[in-house]
Amino acid sequence: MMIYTMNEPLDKRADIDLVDGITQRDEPSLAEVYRRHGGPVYGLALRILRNPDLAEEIVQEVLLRLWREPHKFDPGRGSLRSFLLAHAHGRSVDVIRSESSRRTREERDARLTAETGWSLEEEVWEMALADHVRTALEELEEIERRPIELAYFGGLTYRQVAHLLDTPEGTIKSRIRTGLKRLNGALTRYGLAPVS
Amino acid sequence: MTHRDIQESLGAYALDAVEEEERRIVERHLTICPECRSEVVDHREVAARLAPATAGPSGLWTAFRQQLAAPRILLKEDDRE
Repeated sequence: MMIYTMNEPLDKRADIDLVDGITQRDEPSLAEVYRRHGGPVYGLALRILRNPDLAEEIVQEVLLRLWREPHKFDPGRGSLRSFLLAHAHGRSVDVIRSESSRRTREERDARLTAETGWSLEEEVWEMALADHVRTALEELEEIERRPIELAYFGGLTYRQVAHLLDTPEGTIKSRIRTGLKRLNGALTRYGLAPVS
Repeated sequence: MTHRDIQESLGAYALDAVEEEERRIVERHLTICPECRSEVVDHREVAARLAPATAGPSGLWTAFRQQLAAPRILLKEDDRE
């Protein structure tokens, strides 16, 4: 198996084989992981942090952790991309919530409460989404989509979202959950491989 | 929190949108509940689709390789494994 994958071109190897390569200290395997998944990881961090230097740091952290602890990736617990994005998301949210960025967060909260429609950054973001993802998002009711966006991209807790939207916490939690399930259904219908 | 309560939290949990204490409670529950683990996997796969399908910035990999190459105590410990 190892000899076979060593002969196979990198870009043809499955993600799990790349992680296997990383356990064997094969740097080109990590490079291929970056080539495949680095863009979305960077894009997500940038969307949340709105700072290219910080976003780049996040990507480096994620890659470094994969390099040092490839065994932490469990293919039974989801795709490599969602694993890397979950790490990037968690770290980005940590940065947002830290004391040192409190002022930036306050400014952003003020902006969130003030804005009534799309900002240019969100428009640009939307354009970077694949068509079917955008379509799936549009299937959501606003009451589901907005909490998901505020939580995922704004780094807000559901408690903060509830406060911002003047809605009970339990309702917000529930809408996030049903919204994600609805998105899952829509994405599956549009021909994406079912999640599980 | 009951299993039902925790289920209601799974969407927010998958989006890192719960506070520390609730996060711990959910994580503890996940260690013993395959149904909830499976749901979290689903939510994270969906969330992953919301990341933009763009390329990473040029120069990032080169800068990162330098980090990999730079001798560091932590890296030496890894090599000992």
